Amino acid sequence: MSGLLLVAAVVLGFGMRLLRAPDPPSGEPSDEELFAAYTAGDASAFDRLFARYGPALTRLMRRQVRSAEDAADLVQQTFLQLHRARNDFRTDALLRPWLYTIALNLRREYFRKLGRRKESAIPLDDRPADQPRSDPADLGLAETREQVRAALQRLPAGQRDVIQLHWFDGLSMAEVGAVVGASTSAVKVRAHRGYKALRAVLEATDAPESIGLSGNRAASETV
Amino acid sequence: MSCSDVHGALLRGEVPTGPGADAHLRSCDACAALVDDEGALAGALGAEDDPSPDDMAALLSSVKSAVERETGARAWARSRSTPARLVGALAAVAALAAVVATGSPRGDLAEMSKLRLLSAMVLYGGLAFACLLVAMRPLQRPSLAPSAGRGLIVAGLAVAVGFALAPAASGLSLWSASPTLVPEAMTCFAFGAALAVPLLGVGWLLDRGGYAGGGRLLLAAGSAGLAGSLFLELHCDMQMPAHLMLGHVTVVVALLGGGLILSTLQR
Repeated sequence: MSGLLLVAAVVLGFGMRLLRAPDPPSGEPSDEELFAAYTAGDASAFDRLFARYGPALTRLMRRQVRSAEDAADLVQQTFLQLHRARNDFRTDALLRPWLYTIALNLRREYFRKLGRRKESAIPLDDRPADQPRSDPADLGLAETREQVRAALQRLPAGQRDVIQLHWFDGLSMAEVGAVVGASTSAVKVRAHRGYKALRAVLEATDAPESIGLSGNRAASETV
Repeated sequence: MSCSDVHGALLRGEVPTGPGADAHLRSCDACAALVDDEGALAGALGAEDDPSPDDMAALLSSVKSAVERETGARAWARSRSTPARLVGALAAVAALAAVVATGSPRGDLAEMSKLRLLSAMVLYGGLAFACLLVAMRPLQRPSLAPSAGRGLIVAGLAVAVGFALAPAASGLSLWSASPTLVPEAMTCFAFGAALAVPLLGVGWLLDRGGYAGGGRLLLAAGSAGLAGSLFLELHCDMQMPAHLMLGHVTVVVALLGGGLILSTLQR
């Protein structure tokens, strides 16, 4: 059975690229070196930083900001704020946590201005009563992605941010801690709880059967 | 093995094994939770849409346009380092305080209680500085809980009211029926506000944006109001609590009210 589960994970994994911003290949300047070059007047270094982080930050914004235009505007604001803060940068600091902290602060402000409650947990019971529960057999990859996205939205903001930064954006736990202003051990605990909660939410929305989650392992084995 | 190694393996559809993986999974509950189900949840999480190259090219173009518009005095001022911006704001407060202390000092400056003068400088100055620190907190630092800002606002108001009512402890009546009460209080209010409002202009000059409204504007206004009250302590020797409430505390209240209105309008 575990083999089947592994196959399910592999199948879902096909076609996906590594979502994290890749470490620069050897010989490539680090983020910090590029930013130092930019602050010293090398405008092309900014383009290279954008090439590294523009797509990742766009994905970060699009995860929660429904309007593609607003998401793009928030990414633009993130880089503009990076430009304005260039003289704050210390040579011993890491650039990536900076960028993500700016991005998350801007996104939080965006939702605050909208006056919405998207950053808080959405109870499962909010699903409309007349919405049919999906047939697991019919759930394809796209539907599973939607289920995961919806499940992520249901997590408390503290857990969701940590999972997104750790998993989707590839930040180390230390970097995640720096971004959210918590210790490394605290964000590890949040991530653990978040993954458990996510699995529980997925199980409640029937998605796990389509992706072979352990919650349904026993049932599948019985069949 | 690190979290990144575990994620990389899971995204390739592999379940990390071996002594290195075991050691990491024992110490990292987060990764252990992902490996628990043979990586199935990780596989589902890994799916995410990628922005198109055209979108990225357009976005880069708009980012560069925005950066190129960053010219002029304000762009220069707000791109200074945060310590430099704080020093700039404090220098503006210190310059105004020096102007008041030398150009229009209170009549009893030499004889007044040194304890009160010191307390005023430490409490008003300290709280104004604390408000400024939060208001100018750079975006690349994790945001503070909103309660921190609210606490500073309440503390600032409490200090202003405390200073106004303190003379009552030495026997002065809380209220005065003097016909000059309101005109004198309004003169002090105008003096304090006239000195505090330009500080908001300095704050605007140094502000990097990003937080359009809310707590930051309110804190900046509170900081300016507290500085205005400090200037009045250096300028006015009247001790009547009624005068202090009407002419001095109102500077803080008016600035906070203005900040509240502006932040509401900006939403």
